[in-house]
Amino acid sequence: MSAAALTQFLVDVTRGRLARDFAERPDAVIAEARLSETERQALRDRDLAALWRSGAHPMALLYFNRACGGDNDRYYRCISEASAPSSIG
Amino acid sequence: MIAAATIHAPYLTAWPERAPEEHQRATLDGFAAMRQAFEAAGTDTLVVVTSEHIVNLEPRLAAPFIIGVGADHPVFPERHFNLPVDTYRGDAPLATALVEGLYRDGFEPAHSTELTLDHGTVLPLHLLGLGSSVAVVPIVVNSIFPPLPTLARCRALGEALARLLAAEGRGRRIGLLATGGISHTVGAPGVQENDLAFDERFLAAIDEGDLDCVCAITDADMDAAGNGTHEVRNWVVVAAAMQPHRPRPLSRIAFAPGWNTGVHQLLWGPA
Repeated sequence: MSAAALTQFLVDVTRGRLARDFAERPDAVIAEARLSETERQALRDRDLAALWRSGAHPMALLYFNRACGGDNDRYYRCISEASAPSSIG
Repeated sequence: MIAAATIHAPYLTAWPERAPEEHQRATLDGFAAMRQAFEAAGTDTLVVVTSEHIVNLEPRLAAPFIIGVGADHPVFPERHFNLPVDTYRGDAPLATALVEGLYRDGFEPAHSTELTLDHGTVLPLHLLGLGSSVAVVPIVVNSIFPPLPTLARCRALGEALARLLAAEGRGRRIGLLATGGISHTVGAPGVQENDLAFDERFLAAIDEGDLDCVCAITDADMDAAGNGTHEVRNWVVVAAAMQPHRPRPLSRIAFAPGWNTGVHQLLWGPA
């Protein structure tokens, strides 16, 4: 699915029309999302690195982390690691 | 007409103590100087060219420019930034006249009766402290969901606004305020840095009124300086509206450690 669709989902569950539902039944909301299974699993796992690599908008992902109770230090650590060039060999 | 431009970094109110005391003082002195200038001019309406952070804009609908035409503007609660949660009095007749005038002039801004303001607007207004007697007409410029309006288009918008405000002022004493920028990063690696070279290049061009030079800055340049840098579009709108007048700096801190940003504030108007 597109990065825009993933970003829109993050916006919907943090500041938009799905925010209340997501707070009460997050797994159900994720299951109903029109996203790839990889993206849905990353959301269930709160896997910031995977969501970053999927192209989530930085601001939307930052707010998603905050809404899930994550702190900024962990957020920036995760995405910095996700952004680092991978070594081969 | 008096105009000003300022950053709106939330650190200023959320964690002011993280920056050196001299930086805190210089920043507040800058806001005080703006306030004095607007008050001395009898400003009763402030057109604020601003950015927002996913409280109105979303991938589903991202207009390049949105003018708040409501009688008042709700505030998105950001208590963690120590900002008041209130509403700001709007100016629906003026805002609507701006929309209509821009349509006649070849622009198609979106308009909203419920444009929500976040720290991008609320923080500068709070620190400016002009009080509720001053109405606010917000103009949100999309700086977060590409494609973004070009700097050239922002310049043209500013020029059009100047013509309209002169013609449609309706007896108001109008001021302009740009917020945002300059180089900074949000939610991405590099959040603790800014781009000194970009800031120098941009500010030098603004200082000289060289908007051709400003408009030569590319989206790639702004991406490289930090994803928040796209907010300089707001400064371009106001700088264009104030031409041929040149601004004077009220504060110029290349980098305030602890705030993760430079602090830059400009004023157009009588010294």
